[in-house]
Amino acid sequence: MTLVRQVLSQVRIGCLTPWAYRASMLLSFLVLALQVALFSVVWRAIYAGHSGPVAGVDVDTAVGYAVLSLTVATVLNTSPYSSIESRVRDGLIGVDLTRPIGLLTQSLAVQAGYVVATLPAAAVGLGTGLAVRGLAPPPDVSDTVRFAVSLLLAFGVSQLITLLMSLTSFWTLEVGGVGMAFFVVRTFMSGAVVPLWFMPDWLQAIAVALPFQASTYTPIAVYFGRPPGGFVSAVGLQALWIVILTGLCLWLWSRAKHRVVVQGG
Amino acid sequence: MAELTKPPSAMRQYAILLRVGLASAMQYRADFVMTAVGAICYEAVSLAFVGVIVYAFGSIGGWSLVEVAFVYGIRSMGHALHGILSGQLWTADGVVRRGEFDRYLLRPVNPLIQLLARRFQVTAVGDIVFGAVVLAVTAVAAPISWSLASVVFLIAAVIGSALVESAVMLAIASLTFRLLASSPILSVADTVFVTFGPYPLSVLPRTVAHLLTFVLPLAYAAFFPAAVLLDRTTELFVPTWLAFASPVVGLLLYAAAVLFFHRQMRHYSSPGH
Repeated sequence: MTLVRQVLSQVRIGCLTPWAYRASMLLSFLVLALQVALFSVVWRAIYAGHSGPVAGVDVDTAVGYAVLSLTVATVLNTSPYSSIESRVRDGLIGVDLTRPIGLLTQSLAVQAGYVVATLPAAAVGLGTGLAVRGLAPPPDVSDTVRFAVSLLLAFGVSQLITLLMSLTSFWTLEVGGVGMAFFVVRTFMSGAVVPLWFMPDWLQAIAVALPFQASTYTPIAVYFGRPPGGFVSAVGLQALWIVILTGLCLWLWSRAKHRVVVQGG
Repeated sequence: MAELTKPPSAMRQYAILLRVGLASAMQYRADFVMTAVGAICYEAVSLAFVGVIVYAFGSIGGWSLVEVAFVYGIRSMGHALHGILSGQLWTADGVVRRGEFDRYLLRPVNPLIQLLARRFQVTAVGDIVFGAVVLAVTAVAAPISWSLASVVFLIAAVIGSALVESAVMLAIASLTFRLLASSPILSVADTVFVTFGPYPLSVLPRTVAHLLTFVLPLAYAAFFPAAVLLDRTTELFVPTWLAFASPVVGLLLYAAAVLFFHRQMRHYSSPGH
């Protein structure tokens, strides 16, 4: 029971921290609403010259995808700079290591807190989507359940990706440029800006081989009834990525332990 | 008695401060390079987005891949120059709130110049490399028979593009003196510029296109000059001369923004030290 309490305390910290900067949180919601509205205009304009679907996708699906992907990415893809990296740089990692729960558990708990804190963004994104008539509810109840299952797995994948990225800061100390490059690869390959459907085959092949698509593209594709390779294999692949990423995190952490530098400690 | 020497001109002051800023940023060479490379990656996402769209759709509103890419090229080079000139405007909030602006008022250099040259915008270096490559490649690939006049117009258009974006951002940043916060509004304007920037605006609904011409003047930053150079002026939703005048519009807007900044500056009240 104490472990649950300890973990929950970390979730609470992660949840409260971003709201300490209320203005910037509210701003990110505003920017999301604006992006949803603008992208629905852009997609409709792009489709204007074409009659019928492109790459098997009609205009309503493309707009709906944009609404969902912008929303999901805003909520799930938390900033990798939030946890370990800044703590390594400030030397606070020393304090973290003396805590009664492991560093990986702590970090995941704090990250989960961030996601909880960002949840109102889902209402903002979906609300704007409805306002611009950009989103239709999924065809039936079983699709909704499937979407929920895939979304939950996506949550796991995205948090492990964030954790893996932060763990590299034990080697680099400074992730400025690397962080930006990572942000780019994640944004693009996750399908957050453009669905994998539209990509040329070679690019799709790369995206499918990477874990990022399992964090955003998969649940949304499920929502629109087009899970890649069928629902079972799509969800199975997500689960597989959770296992692989967990293994990678554990391995990286076992190596990192031996080279922790507590700055100013 | 020693004769008083004339102070250097505003341009020269700006150049000196820019050089000092660059020298200080170069102290951390690895970080400098990493940040610049990171900026290139950041820009690459938006290019990849446009690339995938045009690949899947064949064309946007009758504009082919190279033509859309050319719009993107003008915009990305203009955006890079804008970054060098105006990147520091994002810090205007903090400068005013912490009272750093007090110092600007005491020194014998125009406060706006001090704000703009506060630090060197390292990400802009990456943006310039990226923008130059994209613009050069797309300018060669685009169906344009280049002459001296069209090259001159292109250069003017790129500078005008930077000035248009900078004018919008400067006008917004000027509000800091009254509101004490402008970065949220800067973010909103930036989002609009980034989202609509690379498209031929003629495909958008007319209302949106007009908003992007007369309210948030994005059209002058890439679409109008590209339409002129690609000889697609029939698709314009404004008189042709206005599209030709895009670089001049940039210059006028920036001059107006500078004037506006100095007006708003009078409302500065120091937080006290």
